[in-house]
Amino acid sequence: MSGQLNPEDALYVDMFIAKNSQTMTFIRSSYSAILGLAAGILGLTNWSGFVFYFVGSAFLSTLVFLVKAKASPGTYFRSPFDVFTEGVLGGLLSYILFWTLLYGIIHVYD
Amino acid sequence: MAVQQAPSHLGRLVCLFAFLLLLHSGYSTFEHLSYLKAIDGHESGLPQDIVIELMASVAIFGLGIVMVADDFKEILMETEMAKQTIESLDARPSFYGFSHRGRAVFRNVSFKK
Repeated sequence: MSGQLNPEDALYVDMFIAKNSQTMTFIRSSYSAILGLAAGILGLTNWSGFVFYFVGSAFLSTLVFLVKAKASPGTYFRSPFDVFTEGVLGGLLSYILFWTLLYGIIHVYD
Repeated sequence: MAVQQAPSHLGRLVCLFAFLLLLHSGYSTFEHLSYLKAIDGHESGLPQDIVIELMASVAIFGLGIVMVADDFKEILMETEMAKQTIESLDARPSFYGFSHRGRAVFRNVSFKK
């Protein structure tokens, strides 16, 4: 009612933008837990663990890009590159949690 | 608009399979390390088959999670509006009219008490 109308508001459905980023967060956080379990079992230490996480995330991004977004992320995200970046750093913490847990169970307290 | 999607049972099955693989490779690693300790060998990398099993499990898990998660919605207003009928748009609260002809037509009508 006040001020100018923002043309962006009429272009996108806000609810679906939120829904898509929620789906993306779900995929990322589940998969970072799994990557953490794998890193712990492998017994990675130091930088190799972080490299493993980013390589695994890149694999997941490619999978989401091809299967979920059907190779056209522009129809599901405002900026097409979001499909590769969204939630990567957010998943890092749960990755470290599961990484240290499994490393401790298998390689330390045996 | 935001309808709950039916869960993908195939995706869950894939995830379960991947989890079993992960569990097995974890247990194998544990066994391998205890074996090394028993024969006083020193740890020098995991056996190849355990690593391959683990990587397969991680890859299958990725596929499973992508299958389980809800589908993305198309965010463009244009494609969303194309799916709606004109009736649902006309019935919006903004289009309600309260000063219509009824006031003039029914002016002389009296209700019996």
